[in-house]
Amino acid sequence: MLRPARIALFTAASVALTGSLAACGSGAGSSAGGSSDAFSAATCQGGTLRVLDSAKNSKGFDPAVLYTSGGGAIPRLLFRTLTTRQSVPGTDGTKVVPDLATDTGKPSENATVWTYHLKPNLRFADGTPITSADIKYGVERSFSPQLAGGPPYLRDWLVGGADYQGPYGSGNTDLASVATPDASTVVFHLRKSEGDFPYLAAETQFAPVPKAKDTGKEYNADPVSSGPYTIAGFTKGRELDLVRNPHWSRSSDQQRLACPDRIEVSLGLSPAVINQRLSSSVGQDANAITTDTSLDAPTLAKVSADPALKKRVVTGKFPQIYYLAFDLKKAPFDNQLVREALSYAVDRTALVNAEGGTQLAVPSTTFTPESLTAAHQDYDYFPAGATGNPEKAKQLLAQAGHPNGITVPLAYDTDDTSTGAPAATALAQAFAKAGITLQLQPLGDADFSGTVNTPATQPALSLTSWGADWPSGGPFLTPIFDGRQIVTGGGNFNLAQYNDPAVNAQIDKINQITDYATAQKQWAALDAQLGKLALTVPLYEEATSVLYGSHVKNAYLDQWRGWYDIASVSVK
Amino acid sequence: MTLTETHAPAESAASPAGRERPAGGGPAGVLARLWALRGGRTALVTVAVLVLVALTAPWLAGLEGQDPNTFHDTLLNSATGGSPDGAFGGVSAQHWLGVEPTTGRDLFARLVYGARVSLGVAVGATIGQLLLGLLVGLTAGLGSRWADALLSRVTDLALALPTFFFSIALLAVVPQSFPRPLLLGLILSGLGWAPIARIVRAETRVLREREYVQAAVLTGAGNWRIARREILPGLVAPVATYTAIVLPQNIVAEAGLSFLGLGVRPPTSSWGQMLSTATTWFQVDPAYVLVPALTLLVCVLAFAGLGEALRVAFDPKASVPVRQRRARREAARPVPSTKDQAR
Repeated sequence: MLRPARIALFTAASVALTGSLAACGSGAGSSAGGSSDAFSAATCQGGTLRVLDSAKNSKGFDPAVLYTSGGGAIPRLLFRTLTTRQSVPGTDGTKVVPDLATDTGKPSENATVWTYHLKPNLRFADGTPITSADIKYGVERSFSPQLAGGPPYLRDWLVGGADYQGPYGSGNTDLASVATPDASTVVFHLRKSEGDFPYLAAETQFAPVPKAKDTGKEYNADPVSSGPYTIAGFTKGRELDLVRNPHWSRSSDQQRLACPDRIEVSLGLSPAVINQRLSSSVGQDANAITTDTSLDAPTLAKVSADPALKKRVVTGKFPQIYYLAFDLKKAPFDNQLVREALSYAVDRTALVNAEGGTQLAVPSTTFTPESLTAAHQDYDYFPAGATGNPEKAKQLLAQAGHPNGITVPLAYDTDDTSTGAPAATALAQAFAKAGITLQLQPLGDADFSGTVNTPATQPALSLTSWGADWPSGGPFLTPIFDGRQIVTGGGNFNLAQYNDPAVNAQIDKINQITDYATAQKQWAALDAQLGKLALTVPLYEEATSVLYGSHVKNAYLDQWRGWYDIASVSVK
Repeated sequence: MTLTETHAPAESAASPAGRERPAGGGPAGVLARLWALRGGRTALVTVAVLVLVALTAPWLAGLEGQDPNTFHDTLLNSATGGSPDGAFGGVSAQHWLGVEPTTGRDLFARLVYGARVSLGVAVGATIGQLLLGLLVGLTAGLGSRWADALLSRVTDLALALPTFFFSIALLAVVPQSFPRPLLLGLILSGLGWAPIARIVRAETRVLREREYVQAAVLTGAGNWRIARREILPGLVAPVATYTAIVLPQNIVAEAGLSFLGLGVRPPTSSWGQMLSTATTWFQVDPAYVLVPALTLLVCVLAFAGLGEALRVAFDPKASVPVRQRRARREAARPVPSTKDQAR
């Protein structure tokens, strides 16, 4: 009884000691894990931060081509956008705040016209001033066919966006719906009401690009920076060196602390290597973080057994739902009773375990997951309990005219380590108890999106996921349940092929609301209303658990994306 | 690489056996000689046990009271990555070898069912290789000069192919809906017949010149009859020996391909698939890795030992093992006594 108490006392004393050491500003040699309590924004500057990533970023950093959520991790160090996500831990991190602009945008005419004013004295890394023309040019570039890859919203929303081909070549090189009445004002004219426009304006397509420095497809290797860092060296797929941008200052940027003097990114590392290096945290790796590698189940098991390591793990969530998608046009899923039977039969505990346990996945009975806080409303119309209710499922199947059970195909993505084989296997064994036989149809990544997202080839049942481009119910529900979003050629996400004019009208109505909280409540209500139809079986949402090096401070996962906000991390 | 290394001794060892035709008084004699070799006996028993395990997998799993695909959520600690509760990966009276992390499926049941796939694919692939090799080898050995030249060059070409990389490429190309074990067997046999064809051709050309074969030719027997009645019995020794050598290679190939995720589809288990999912767990749950790894090791060793023993058993020049063993025992007996004397 005595000994544990003494040990506890001793560790408490040593933590206090290292804490005070770090506060003195030395911090060197202390082996205690990430003493973020000693972090001070005023004295955090200096040192070299290392980033160990598994992605290769072989496409480089062209703001027109990048598809980010809220500006991404590394891109946000290079590009300032009209708006950006708020850099704070907790749910306030889902808020959109002004970045280059003075506010998050002034809507007019039913949220179809959005006006932004730039802050004064903004400069590119080469010293030239940032003007509204550079913002307009950046947006225009993203329409160019040779710079495809960004999110589809601009083309859908801007007046004339559907036919515009970008600023290169001859013909109509000007996008009139982006107006620049003066050097510090930019006005966007939308063809429909979009209350979420400020959230879209945080994407890298809204970063300024100087027309004089544009090199087209080559721009991705050395873009002109408007953020706190600029590229000193970049070998595609291998490494990226970032140094300070002398023309950036904290006084004009409230969202980026930019603590390290230098950031060295290693690309294309294997996830196992990244987790191993972060957990051993030897030498330079003590100053390391990762922007894309979550702990896998085995590493998590190892970390859980080691209190010193456990201190260096942070958890967060990116609002993303993993779900079963029905094709309502195909039997037997045209029958709601059958869809309900599957909803009852699902064993969410087995699914969560297959993902690596409760620290990597959280069960969800709602399509809009809990992590999308503002747009979430709790409901569980077909309570399956923790491990499924096969009896109820059998009963419903019998009612639907399938007393001997059903056999249905299930397509899943073999290249997706999370929605792939483990989840499909877990589903199959739970469904078998209810007399539902799943014929597993494994498809490679490219095959999966080609087959599942084309209505003509879509299987009756698929295991897939959907994430939010920004923290709002709009981009979460619209592509999945808006009947006008059914794309027959490919790239269709309304897998149910559900088209209800009343729901479509409801979506239009919510899009007109510019007050975030009000709009989100409406989205949540819409989700709860659609949930009654069992158009999908929500399964679980993914959680991220990430390690950081032992010298790293102020490392937290922002709630917008569920990943580290590099702009706030310090190594000093 | 390993194929060429192993086929050389088999060929040289086989030639004298062929001359004696057939060695040591039929299959019973060979079996007796094999049994007399200590290595041969051990290998034979091990192989028999493994085959028995594969054949009785449902019964063995039933004896344990488990099946390979049932999840056991309650045996896992969901908060620590879904690792099994308890020592050695959750070994208990209900789960003899513990359970699989993140699913809780019974490892013993998966192992014995996995034996069916691993051994089934390996045996199937070996039979396929054997049939193809015999067909090509006999045709080349008995056929015309042109047929021989053509088939020999094709064999050389097949021998030069990097088998493993070709299997990977082929497995990736064939649609996922094709039954995987069958596909694995077809690909392994389609790519691995060349060494057997070479041995068979060389042996056939030697046997063709024997008087009894010449006599058969003079009586007007057709090629097919000669191949079946005169040549094939002489091929038993080298081919049987070589079969025992390629079989473990096929087990390893299946395991390797399953390890890379190109083998069987879930929820089917095979030893390679088990090893593949286990590797990332080696620090947390070593038992999970050791179970399939040791099984594979024992299996491959047993077949390799059997191959070596068969080679000796078929070879009349390798002296009679029974007498050798007795002699060794007799020679060994005086040793302790001399030691006693020395003391």
